[in-house]
Amino acid sequence: MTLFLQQIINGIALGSVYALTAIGYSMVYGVLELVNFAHGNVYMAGAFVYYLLAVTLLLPWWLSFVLAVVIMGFFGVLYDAATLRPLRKAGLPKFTGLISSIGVSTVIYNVFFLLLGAETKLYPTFFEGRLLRIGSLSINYIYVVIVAVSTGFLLLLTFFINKTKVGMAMRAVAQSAEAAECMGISTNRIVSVTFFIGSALAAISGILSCMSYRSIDISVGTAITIKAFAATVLGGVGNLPGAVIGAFAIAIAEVLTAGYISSNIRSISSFIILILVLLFRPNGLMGRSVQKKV
Amino acid sequence: MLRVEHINTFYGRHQALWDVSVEVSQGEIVAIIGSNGAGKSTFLKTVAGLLRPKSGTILYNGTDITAWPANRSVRGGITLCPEGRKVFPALSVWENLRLGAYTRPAREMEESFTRVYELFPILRERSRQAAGTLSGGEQQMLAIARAMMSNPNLLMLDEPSLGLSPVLTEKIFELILEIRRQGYTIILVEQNAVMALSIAERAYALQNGRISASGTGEKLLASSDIVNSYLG
Repeated sequence: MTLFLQQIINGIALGSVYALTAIGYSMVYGVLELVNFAHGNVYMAGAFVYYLLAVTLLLPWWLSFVLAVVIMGFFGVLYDAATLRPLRKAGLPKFTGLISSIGVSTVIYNVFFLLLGAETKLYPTFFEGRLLRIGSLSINYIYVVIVAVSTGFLLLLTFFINKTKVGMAMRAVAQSAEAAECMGISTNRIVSVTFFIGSALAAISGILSCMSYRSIDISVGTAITIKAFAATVLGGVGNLPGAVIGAFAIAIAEVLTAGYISSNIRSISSFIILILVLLFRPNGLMGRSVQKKV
Repeated sequence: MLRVEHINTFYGRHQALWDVSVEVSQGEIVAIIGSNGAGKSTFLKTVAGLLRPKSGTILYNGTDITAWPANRSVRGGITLCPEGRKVFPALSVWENLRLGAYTRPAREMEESFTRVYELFPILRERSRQAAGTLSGGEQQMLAIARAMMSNPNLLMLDEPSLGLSPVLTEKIFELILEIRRQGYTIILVEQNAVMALSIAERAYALQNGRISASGTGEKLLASSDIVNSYLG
Protein backbone atom coordinates (compact mmCIF):
# COMPACT_ATOMS: atom_id res chain seq x y z
CA MET A 1 0.00 0.00 0.00
CA THR A 2 2.78 2.39 0.86
CA LEU A 3 4.48 1.60 -2.40
CA PHE A 4 1.24 2.24 -4.22
CA LEU A 5 0.67 5.62 -2.54
CA GLN A 6 4.28 6.52 -3.13
CA GLN A 7 3.87 5.77 -6.80
CA ILE A 8 0.66 7.79 -7.03
CA ILE A 9 2.44 10.78 -5.50
CA ASN A 10 5.26 10.44 -8.01
CA GLY A 11 2.62 10.17 -10.71
CA ILE A 12 0.94 13.37 -9.58
CA ALA A 13 4.23 15.28 -9.68
CA LEU A 14 5.05 13.89 -13.12
CA GLY A 15 1.47 14.54 -14.24
CA SER A 16 1.74 18.23 -13.27
CA VAL A 17 4.74 18.57 -15.55
CA TYR A 18 2.98 16.78 -18.40
CA ALA A 19 -0.14 18.87 -17.85
CA LEU A 20 1.69 22.18 -18.25
CA THR A 21 3.14 20.98 -21.54
CA ALA A 22 -0.03 19.29 -22.79
CA ILE A 23 -2.01 22.50 -22.22
CA GLY A 24 0.23 24.37 -24.63
CA TYR A 25 -0.32 21.70 -27.27
CA SER A 26 -4.02 21.76 -26.73
CA MET A 27 -4.34 25.55 -26.78
CA VAL A 28 -2.47 25.89 -30.05
CA TYR A 29 -4.49 23.06 -31.56
CA GLY A 30 -7.73 24.64 -30.36
CA VAL A 31 -6.96 27.97 -31.96
CA LEU A 32 -5.08 26.93 -35.11
CA GLU A 33 -5.88 23.23 -35.58
CA LEU A 34 -2.15 22.73 -35.71
CA VAL A 35 -0.17 20.01 -33.97
CA ASN A 36 2.84 22.02 -32.90
CA PHE A 37 5.74 19.60 -33.12
CA ALA A 38 8.20 22.22 -31.89
CA HIS A 39 6.48 22.32 -28.50
CA GLY A 40 8.67 19.65 -26.92
CA ASN A 41 11.83 21.44 -27.92
CA VAL A 42 10.45 24.72 -26.58
CA TYR A 43 10.20 22.83 -23.29
CA MET A 44 13.82 21.73 -23.66
CA ALA A 45 14.93 25.24 -24.66
CA GLY A 46 13.16 26.73 -21.63
CA ALA A 47 15.00 24.40 -19.30
CA PHE A 48 18.32 25.18 -21.01
CA VAL A 49 17.79 28.93 -20.96
CA TYR A 50 17.22 28.67 -17.20
CA TYR A 51 20.40 26.60 -16.97
CA LEU A 52 22.39 29.18 -18.93
CA LEU A 53 21.10 32.05 -16.79
CA ALA A 54 21.38 30.36 -13.42
CA VAL A 55 24.52 28.26 -13.90
CA THR A 56 26.55 29.96 -16.61
CA LEU A 57 25.65 33.58 -15.85
CA LEU A 58 25.09 32.96 -12.13
CA LEU A 59 21.91 35.01 -11.93
CA PRO A 60 19.68 34.41 -8.91
CA TRP A 61 17.32 31.45 -9.41
CA TRP A 62 14.11 33.50 -9.29
CA LEU A 63 15.35 35.97 -11.86
CA SER A 64 16.57 33.16 -14.09
CA PHE A 65 13.19 31.49 -13.79
CA VAL A 66 11.20 34.60 -14.69
CA LEU A 67 13.56 35.52 -17.52
CA ALA A 68 13.60 32.02 -18.99
CA VAL A 69 9.81 31.81 -18.94
CA VAL A 70 9.32 35.25 -20.47
CA ILE A 71 12.04 34.70 -23.09
CA MET A 72 10.40 31.46 -24.17
CA GLY A 73 6.99 33.15 -24.23
CA PHE A 74 8.31 35.74 -26.66
CA PHE A 75 10.12 33.06 -28.57
CA GLY A 76 6.73 31.39 -29.10
CA VAL A 77 5.27 34.63 -30.44
CA LEU A 78 8.22 35.09 -32.78
CA TYR A 79 8.08 31.48 -33.91
CA ASP A 80 4.45 31.91 -34.93
CA ALA A 81 4.97 35.29 -36.56
CA ALA A 82 8.02 34.18 -38.55
CA THR A 83 7.11 30.66 -39.63
CA LEU A 84 3.37 30.10 -39.29
CA ARG A 85 1.63 33.42 -39.90
CA PRO A 86 2.98 33.76 -43.47
CA LEU A 87 1.49 30.34 -44.27
CA ARG A 88 -1.89 31.35 -42.90
CA LYS A 89 -1.75 34.61 -44.79
CA ALA A 90 -1.06 32.78 -48.03
CA GLY A 91 -4.06 30.56 -47.28
CA LEU A 92 -2.00 27.37 -47.47
CA PRO A 93 -3.41 24.10 -46.12
CA LYS A 94 -2.99 23.43 -42.40
CA PHE A 95 -0.43 20.65 -42.77
CA THR A 96 2.11 23.16 -44.08
CA GLY A 97 2.18 24.61 -40.57
CA LEU A 98 2.92 21.17 -39.22
CA ILE A 99 5.93 20.83 -41.53
CA SER A 100 7.06 24.28 -40.43
CA SER A 101 6.81 23.27 -36.77
CA ILE A 102 8.99 20.21 -37.42
CA GLY A 103 11.54 22.51 -39.04
CA VAL A 104 11.54 24.90 -36.09
CA SER A 105 11.88 21.94 -33.75
CA THR A 106 15.01 20.79 -35.60
CA VAL A 107 16.48 24.29 -35.51
CA ILE A 108 15.95 24.64 -31.74
CA TYR A 109 17.47 21.23 -31.13
CA ASN A 110 20.58 21.95 -33.15
CA VAL A 111 21.12 25.42 -31.76
CA PHE A 112 21.25 24.01 -28.22
CA PHE A 113 23.30 21.09 -29.41
CA LEU A 114 25.89 23.54 -30.75
CA LEU A 115 25.75 25.69 -27.64
CA LEU A 116 25.89 23.00 -25.01
CA GLY A 117 26.80 19.72 -26.62
CA ALA A 118 25.20 16.35 -26.13
CA GLU A 119 26.40 15.34 -22.68
CA THR A 120 24.11 15.26 -19.68
CA LYS A 121 24.54 18.13 -17.25
CA LEU A 122 23.80 18.49 -13.59
CA TYR A 123 20.74 20.69 -13.15
CA PRO A 124 20.44 23.10 -10.21
CA THR A 125 17.58 22.25 -7.91
CA PHE A 126 16.16 23.05 -4.48
CA PHE A 127 15.93 21.08 -1.27
CA GLU A 128 18.61 18.72 -2.52
CA GLY A 129 17.67 15.30 -1.23
CA ARG A 130 15.37 16.62 1.49
CA LEU A 131 12.27 14.57 2.07
CA LEU A 132 8.89 15.41 3.51
CA ARG A 133 7.77 12.49 5.69
CA ILE A 134 4.10 11.75 6.19
CA GLY A 135 3.67 8.48 8.08
CA SER A 136 5.57 5.87 6.14
CA LEU A 137 5.54 8.01 3.00
CA SER A 138 8.49 10.13 2.02
CA ILE A 139 7.97 12.81 -0.55
CA ASN A 140 10.75 14.69 -2.23
CA TYR A 141 10.33 18.41 -1.47
CA ILE A 142 10.82 19.35 -5.09
CA TYR A 143 7.69 17.34 -5.93
CA VAL A 144 5.70 19.49 -3.54
CA VAL A 145 7.07 22.58 -5.28
CA ILE A 146 6.26 21.15 -8.70
CA VAL A 147 2.67 20.34 -7.81
CA ALA A 148 2.14 23.71 -6.11
CA VAL A 149 3.63 25.74 -8.96
CA SER A 150 1.78 23.77 -11.64
CA THR A 151 -1.53 24.02 -9.82
CA GLY A 152 -1.00 27.75 -9.37
CA PHE A 153 -0.37 28.31 -13.06
CA LEU A 154 -3.25 26.06 -14.12
CA LEU A 155 -5.64 28.03 -11.89
CA LEU A 156 -4.28 31.29 -13.26
CA LEU A 157 -4.81 30.04 -16.79
CA THR A 158 -8.34 28.87 -16.00
CA PHE A 159 -9.16 32.31 -14.65
CA PHE A 160 -7.57 34.01 -17.63
CA ILE A 161 -9.45 31.93 -20.19
CA ASN A 162 -12.82 32.06 -18.49
CA LYS A 163 -12.97 35.50 -16.99
CA THR A 164 -10.94 37.94 -19.05
CA LYS A 165 -11.86 39.56 -22.32
CA VAL A 166 -8.79 38.21 -24.12
CA GLY A 167 -9.44 34.72 -22.73
CA MET A 168 -13.00 34.94 -24.00
CA ALA A 169 -11.67 36.04 -27.38
CA MET A 170 -9.35 33.01 -27.42
CA ARG A 171 -12.29 30.70 -26.95
CA ALA A 172 -14.20 32.62 -29.62
CA VAL A 173 -11.37 32.31 -32.16
CA ALA A 174 -11.22 28.57 -31.47
CA GLN A 175 -14.93 28.27 -32.25
CA SER A 176 -15.14 30.53 -35.27
CA ALA A 177 -12.20 32.60 -36.37
CA GLU A 178 -14.25 34.33 -39.03
CA ALA A 179 -16.98 35.45 -36.64
CA ALA A 180 -14.29 36.62 -34.23
CA GLU A 181 -12.75 38.75 -36.99
CA CYS A 182 -16.21 40.22 -37.61
CA MET A 183 -16.24 41.36 -33.96
CA GLY A 184 -13.01 43.23 -34.51
CA ILE A 185 -10.90 40.59 -32.76
CA SER A 186 -7.52 40.32 -34.45
CA THR A 187 -6.93 36.58 -34.78
CA ASN A 188 -3.20 37.14 -35.23
CA ARG A 189 -3.00 38.84 -31.86
CA ILE A 190 -4.99 36.08 -30.21
CA VAL A 191 -2.71 33.49 -31.79
CA SER A 192 0.30 35.42 -30.45
CA VAL A 193 -1.17 35.38 -26.95
CA THR A 194 -1.82 31.66 -27.30
CA PHE A 195 1.76 30.97 -28.35
CA PHE A 196 3.11 33.16 -25.55
CA ILE A 197 1.15 31.29 -22.89
CA GLY A 198 1.73 27.84 -24.39
CA SER A 199 5.48 28.35 -24.75
CA ALA A 200 5.85 29.96 -21.32
CA LEU A 201 4.04 27.01 -19.72
CA ALA A 202 6.25 24.58 -21.64
CA ALA A 203 9.32 26.40 -20.30
CA ILE A 204 8.01 26.24 -16.73
CA SER A 205 7.32 22.56 -17.21
CA GLY A 206 10.81 21.94 -18.61
CA ILE A 207 12.54 23.77 -15.76
CA LEU A 208 10.53 21.99 -13.05
CA SER A 209 11.01 18.62 -14.65
CA CYS A 210 14.79 19.01 -15.00
CA MET A 211 14.91 20.20 -11.38
CA SER A 212 13.23 17.01 -10.25
CA TYR A 213 15.57 14.81 -12.31
CA ARG A 214 18.56 17.02 -11.32
CA SER A 215 19.89 16.70 -14.82
CA ILE A 216 19.36 17.92 -18.35
CA ASP A 217 20.38 16.78 -21.77
CA ILE A 218 19.52 17.69 -25.30
CA SER A 219 16.95 14.91 -25.73
CA VAL A 220 14.50 15.88 -22.95
CA GLY A 221 12.24 17.58 -25.46
CA THR A 222 11.82 14.49 -27.60
CA ALA A 223 10.33 12.36 -24.86
CA ILE A 224 7.93 15.03 -23.64
CA THR A 225 6.72 15.75 -27.18
CA ILE A 226 5.29 12.28 -27.45
CA LYS A 227 3.93 12.09 -23.91
CA ALA A 228 2.28 15.47 -23.91
CA PHE A 229 0.81 14.68 -27.30
CA ALA A 230 -0.56 11.40 -25.95
CA ALA A 231 -2.04 13.26 -22.98
CA THR A 232 -3.66 15.80 -25.30
CA VAL A 233 -5.23 13.14 -27.50
CA LEU A 234 -6.31 11.17 -24.48
CA GLY A 235 -8.14 14.16 -23.03
CA GLY A 236 -9.67 15.22 -26.34
CA VAL A 237 -7.61 17.52 -28.51
CA GLY A 238 -8.35 21.19 -27.92
CA ASN A 239 -10.00 20.49 -24.58
CA LEU A 240 -7.99 22.02 -21.72
CA PRO A 241 -9.45 20.19 -18.70
CA GLY A 242 -9.15 17.06 -20.86
CA ALA A 243 -5.46 17.73 -21.45
CA VAL A 244 -4.85 18.00 -17.69
CA ILE A 245 -6.76 14.81 -16.95
CA GLY A 246 -4.98 13.05 -19.82
CA ALA A 247 -1.62 14.21 -18.48
CA PHE A 248 -2.29 12.79 -15.00
CA ALA A 249 -3.63 9.53 -16.43
CA ILE A 250 -0.54 9.03 -18.60
CA ALA A 251 1.83 9.95 -15.78
CA ILE A 252 0.20 7.68 -13.21
CA ALA A 253 0.06 4.78 -15.67
CA GLU A 254 3.74 5.34 -16.32
CA VAL A 255 4.89 5.32 -12.70
CA LEU A 256 2.70 2.34 -11.85
CA THR A 257 4.21 0.42 -14.75
CA ALA A 258 7.67 1.45 -13.63
CA GLY A 259 6.94 0.55 -10.01
CA TYR A 260 5.21 -2.77 -10.45
CA ILE A 261 6.48 -4.15 -13.74
CA SER A 262 9.69 -2.60 -14.96
CA SER A 263 10.99 0.88 -15.48
CA ASN A 264 12.29 -0.22 -18.86
CA ILE A 265 8.78 -0.36 -20.24
CA ARG A 266 7.32 2.64 -18.42
CA SER A 267 6.72 4.57 -21.64
CA ILE A 268 4.89 1.70 -23.23
CA SER A 269 1.93 2.10 -20.88
CA SER A 270 1.16 5.58 -22.16
CA PHE A 271 1.05 4.31 -25.70
CA ILE A 272 -1.15 1.39 -24.77
CA ILE A 273 -3.59 3.84 -23.21
CA LEU A 274 -3.36 6.05 -26.26
CA ILE A 275 -4.10 3.17 -28.61
CA LEU A 276 -7.05 2.01 -26.49
CA VAL A 277 -8.50 5.52 -26.43
CA LEU A 278 -8.11 5.90 -30.17
CA LEU A 279 -9.85 2.55 -30.65
CA PHE A 280 -12.74 3.08 -28.27
CA ARG A 281 -13.12 6.82 -27.78
CA PRO A 282 -11.40 8.46 -30.74
CA ASN A 283 -12.58 11.90 -29.65
CA GLY A 284 -10.72 11.49 -26.38
CA LEU A 285 -12.10 11.12 -22.89
CA MET A 286 -13.65 14.59 -22.88
CA GLY A 287 -13.96 14.96 -26.63
CA ARG A 288 -17.73 15.28 -26.59
CA SER A 289 -17.95 18.29 -24.38
CA VAL A 290 -16.80 21.24 -26.43
CA GLN A 291 -17.79 23.60 -23.63
CA LYS A 292 -14.31 24.57 -22.54
CA LYS A 293 -12.61 24.20 -25.87
CA VAL A 294 -9.97 26.78 -26.52
CA MET B 1 -21.78 57.52 -46.31
CA LEU B 2 -20.32 54.50 -48.07
CA ARG B 3 -19.11 54.58 -51.64
CA VAL B 4 -17.79 51.41 -53.14
CA GLU B 5 -16.18 52.14 -56.49
CA HIS B 6 -15.31 49.58 -59.14
CA ILE B 7 -14.04 46.86 -56.86
CA ASN B 8 -12.69 43.56 -58.14
CA THR B 9 -12.27 40.84 -55.55
CA PHE B 10 -10.57 37.50 -56.09
CA TYR B 11 -10.42 34.17 -54.29
CA GLY B 12 -7.00 33.07 -55.42
CA ARG B 13 -7.30 33.15 -59.21
CA HIS B 14 -11.04 33.07 -59.26
CA GLN B 15 -12.59 36.48 -59.64
CA ALA B 16 -15.70 36.79 -57.48
CA LEU B 17 -16.58 40.46 -57.93
CA TRP B 18 -16.33 42.33 -61.22
CA ASP B 19 -16.27 46.11 -61.20
CA VAL B 20 -18.86 46.43 -58.46
CA SER B 21 -19.96 49.92 -57.40
CA VAL B 22 -22.45 50.50 -54.61
CA GLU B 23 -23.53 53.59 -52.75
CA VAL B 24 -25.18 53.77 -49.34
CA SER B 25 -26.51 56.90 -47.65
CA GLN B 26 -26.88 57.49 -43.93
CA GLY B 27 -30.00 55.94 -42.41
CA GLU B 28 -31.14 53.80 -45.32
CA ILE B 29 -31.53 50.11 -45.87
CA VAL B 30 -29.78 48.97 -49.01
CA ALA B 31 -30.53 45.45 -50.16
CA ILE B 32 -28.15 43.31 -52.18
CA ILE B 33 -30.01 40.49 -53.81
CA GLY B 34 -28.94 37.66 -56.03
CA SER B 35 -28.83 33.92 -56.27
CA ASN B 36 -26.48 31.61 -54.45
CA GLY B 37 -22.88 32.28 -55.43
CA ALA B 38 -23.60 35.64 -57.03
CA GLY B 39 -21.01 37.32 -54.84
CA LYS B 40 -23.24 38.87 -52.18
CA SER B 41 -21.27 37.60 -49.18
CA THR B 42 -18.00 38.37 -50.96
CA PHE B 43 -19.16 41.92 -51.36
CA LEU B 44 -19.92 42.30 -47.64
CA LYS B 45 -16.65 40.66 -46.64
CA THR B 46 -14.77 43.05 -48.90
CA VAL B 47 -16.44 46.06 -47.32
CA ALA B 48 -15.84 44.60 -43.84
CA GLY B 49 -12.13 44.18 -44.52
CA LEU B 50 -12.14 40.38 -44.36
CA LEU B 51 -11.19 40.32 -48.04
CA ARG B 52 -9.02 42.83 -49.83
CA PRO B 53 -10.13 43.88 -53.32
CA LYS B 54 -7.48 43.67 -56.01
CA SER B 55 -8.55 47.00 -57.41
CA GLY B 56 -11.15 49.67 -56.76
CA THR B 57 -11.74 51.83 -53.70
CA ILE B 58 -14.05 51.86 -50.72
CA LEU B 59 -14.79 55.29 -49.30
CA TYR B 60 -16.44 55.64 -45.92
CA ASN B 61 -17.46 59.16 -44.94
CA GLY B 62 -14.84 60.36 -47.38
CA THR B 63 -12.01 58.21 -45.98
CA ASP B 64 -10.38 55.56 -48.11
CA ILE B 65 -10.82 52.36 -46.10
CA THR B 66 -9.93 49.89 -48.87
CA ALA B 67 -6.86 48.65 -47.01
CA TRP B 68 -8.40 48.55 -43.54
CA PRO B 69 -8.29 45.14 -41.88
CA ALA B 70 -11.49 43.87 -40.26
CA ASN B 71 -10.68 44.98 -36.73
CA ARG B 72 -10.04 48.54 -37.91
CA SER B 73 -13.35 48.60 -39.77
CA VAL B 74 -15.21 47.51 -36.65
CA ARG B 75 -13.52 50.27 -34.66
CA GLY B 76 -14.49 52.65 -37.45
CA GLY B 77 -18.16 51.70 -37.15
CA ILE B 78 -18.65 49.04 -39.83
CA THR B 79 -19.80 45.68 -38.49
CA LEU B 80 -20.69 42.54 -40.39
CA CYS B 81 -23.12 40.00 -39.00
CA PRO B 82 -21.85 36.94 -40.87
CA GLU B 83 -23.85 34.44 -42.85
CA GLY B 84 -25.02 31.36 -40.99
CA ARG B 85 -25.12 33.27 -37.67
CA LYS B 86 -21.76 31.91 -36.48
CA VAL B 87 -22.52 32.48 -32.81
CA PHE B 88 -19.85 31.04 -30.52
CA PRO B 89 -21.77 27.91 -29.47
CA ALA B 90 -19.84 27.06 -26.30
CA LEU B 91 -19.87 30.61 -25.01
CA SER B 92 -22.82 31.98 -23.07
CA VAL B 93 -25.17 34.50 -24.62
CA TRP B 94 -23.66 37.15 -22.36
CA GLU B 95 -20.12 36.25 -23.46
CA ASN B 96 -21.13 36.36 -27.12
CA LEU B 97 -22.53 39.84 -26.62
CA ARG B 98 -19.53 40.92 -24.58
CA LEU B 99 -17.24 39.92 -27.44
CA GLY B 100 -19.44 41.85 -29.85
CA ALA B 101 -18.31 44.91 -27.89
CA TYR B 102 -14.66 43.78 -28.01
CA THR B 103 -13.51 47.05 -29.52
CA ARG B 104 -15.54 49.26 -27.15
CA PRO B 105 -14.29 50.67 -23.86
CA ALA B 106 -15.57 48.89 -20.74
CA ARG B 107 -17.42 51.95 -19.46
CA GLU B 108 -19.83 51.81 -22.42
CA MET B 109 -20.68 48.18 -21.75
CA GLU B 110 -23.69 48.76 -19.50
CA GLU B 111 -25.29 51.06 -22.03
CA SER B 112 -24.70 48.68 -24.95
CA PHE B 113 -26.23 45.76 -23.06
CA THR B 114 -29.28 47.83 -22.13
CA ARG B 115 -29.77 48.95 -25.70
CA VAL B 116 -29.47 45.45 -27.12
CA TYR B 117 -31.58 43.75 -24.43
CA GLU B 118 -34.34 46.27 -25.03
CA LEU B 119 -34.48 45.21 -28.65
CA PHE B 120 -34.07 41.50 -27.91
CA PRO B 121 -35.58 40.84 -24.46
CA ILE B 122 -35.31 37.07 -24.96
CA LEU B 123 -31.53 37.37 -24.85
CA ARG B 124 -31.64 38.84 -21.38
CA GLU B 125 -33.57 35.81 -20.17
CA ARG B 126 -31.08 33.50 -21.84
CA SER B 127 -27.96 35.44 -20.94
CA ARG B 128 -26.30 32.62 -19.01
CA GLN B 129 -27.21 29.89 -21.47
CA ALA B 130 -24.67 28.51 -23.96
CA ALA B 131 -25.40 30.07 -27.35
CA GLY B 132 -25.35 26.64 -29.00
CA THR B 133 -28.46 25.64 -27.05
CA LEU B 134 -30.58 28.47 -28.47
CA SER B 135 -33.12 27.88 -31.24
CA GLY B 136 -32.28 28.99 -34.79
CA GLY B 137 -34.33 32.16 -34.49
CA GLU B 138 -32.79 33.04 -31.15
CA GLN B 139 -29.31 32.42 -32.54
CA GLN B 140 -30.03 34.80 -35.40
CA MET B 141 -31.21 37.43 -32.93
CA LEU B 142 -28.05 36.86 -30.92
CA ALA B 143 -25.92 37.24 -34.04
CA ILE B 144 -27.57 40.57 -34.89
CA ALA B 145 -27.44 41.72 -31.27
CA ARG B 146 -23.77 40.76 -31.04
CA ALA B 147 -23.01 42.82 -34.15
CA MET B 148 -24.91 45.76 -32.63
CA MET B 149 -22.83 45.60 -29.45
CA SER B 150 -19.98 47.25 -31.35
CA ASN B 151 -22.28 50.24 -31.75
CA PRO B 152 -21.82 50.36 -35.52
CA ASN B 153 -22.75 53.14 -37.82
CA LEU B 154 -23.14 50.73 -40.71
CA LEU B 155 -24.59 47.31 -39.93
CA MET B 156 -24.22 44.64 -42.61
CA LEU B 157 -26.51 41.63 -42.32
CA ASP B 158 -25.66 38.57 -44.37
CA GLU B 159 -28.73 36.38 -44.99
CA PRO B 160 -30.47 36.97 -41.67
CA SER B 161 -33.46 34.86 -42.78
CA LEU B 162 -31.35 31.83 -43.72
CA GLY B 163 -32.91 28.64 -42.41
CA LEU B 164 -35.72 30.40 -40.53
CA SER B 165 -39.44 29.70 -40.81
CA PRO B 166 -41.60 32.33 -42.56
CA VAL B 167 -42.98 33.50 -39.22
CA LEU B 168 -39.51 33.96 -37.75
CA THR B 169 -38.28 35.60 -40.94
CA GLU B 170 -41.04 38.15 -40.61
CA LYS B 171 -40.08 38.76 -37.00
CA ILE B 172 -36.43 39.29 -37.97
CA PHE B 173 -37.42 41.73 -40.70
CA GLU B 174 -39.56 43.69 -38.24
CA LEU B 175 -36.53 43.91 -35.98
CA ILE B 176 -34.38 45.12 -38.87
CA LEU B 177 -36.89 47.91 -39.51
CA GLU B 178 -36.82 48.78 -35.82
CA ILE B 179 -33.01 48.90 -35.91
CA ARG B 180 -33.16 51.26 -38.87
CA ARG B 181 -35.65 53.48 -37.02
CA GLN B 182 -33.04 53.81 -34.30
CA GLY B 183 -30.76 55.47 -36.83
CA TYR B 184 -28.54 52.67 -38.07
CA THR B 185 -27.61 52.34 -41.71
CA ILE B 186 -28.06 48.81 -42.97
CA ILE B 187 -26.82 46.75 -45.89
CA LEU B 188 -29.00 43.70 -46.16
CA VAL B 189 -27.93 40.70 -48.20
CA GLU B 190 -30.76 38.30 -48.90
CA GLN B 191 -31.83 35.45 -51.09
CA ASN B 192 -35.36 36.20 -49.97
CA ALA B 193 -35.54 39.05 -52.47
CA VAL B 194 -39.21 39.94 -52.10
CA MET B 195 -38.88 40.50 -48.36
CA ALA B 196 -35.62 42.38 -48.74
CA LEU B 197 -36.86 44.63 -51.53
CA SER B 198 -40.03 45.44 -49.65
CA ILE B 199 -38.14 46.99 -46.73
CA ALA B 200 -35.18 48.47 -48.64
CA GLU B 201 -34.96 52.03 -49.88
CA ARG B 202 -32.64 50.97 -52.63
CA ALA B 203 -31.30 47.73 -53.93
CA TYR B 204 -28.65 46.21 -56.14
CA ALA B 205 -28.95 42.89 -57.92
CA LEU B 206 -25.80 40.86 -58.29
CA GLN B 207 -25.39 38.26 -60.99
CA ASN B 208 -22.19 36.27 -61.41
CA GLY B 209 -20.27 38.87 -59.48
CA ARG B 210 -21.54 41.83 -61.47
CA ILE B 211 -24.20 44.41 -60.69
CA SER B 212 -27.00 43.60 -63.10
CA ALA B 213 -29.64 46.04 -61.86
CA SER B 214 -30.08 48.75 -59.28
CA GLY B 215 -32.71 51.20 -58.16
CA THR B 216 -35.37 51.66 -55.52
CA GLY B 217 -36.74 48.60 -53.83
CA GLU B 218 -40.10 49.09 -55.51
CA LYS B 219 -38.57 49.47 -58.92
CA LEU B 220 -36.66 46.22 -58.66
CA LEU B 221 -39.66 44.48 -57.19
CA ALA B 222 -41.79 45.66 -60.11
CA SER B 223 -39.29 44.52 -62.70
CA SER B 224 -40.37 41.14 -63.96
CA ASP B 225 -36.80 40.26 -65.02
CA ILE B 226 -35.53 40.55 -61.51
CA VAL B 227 -38.45 38.71 -60.05
CA ASN B 228 -37.97 35.90 -62.51
CA SER B 229 -34.23 35.56 -62.16
CA TYR B 230 -33.94 35.90 -58.43
CA LEU B 231 -37.19 34.77 -56.98
CA GLY B 232 -38.01 31.92 -59.29
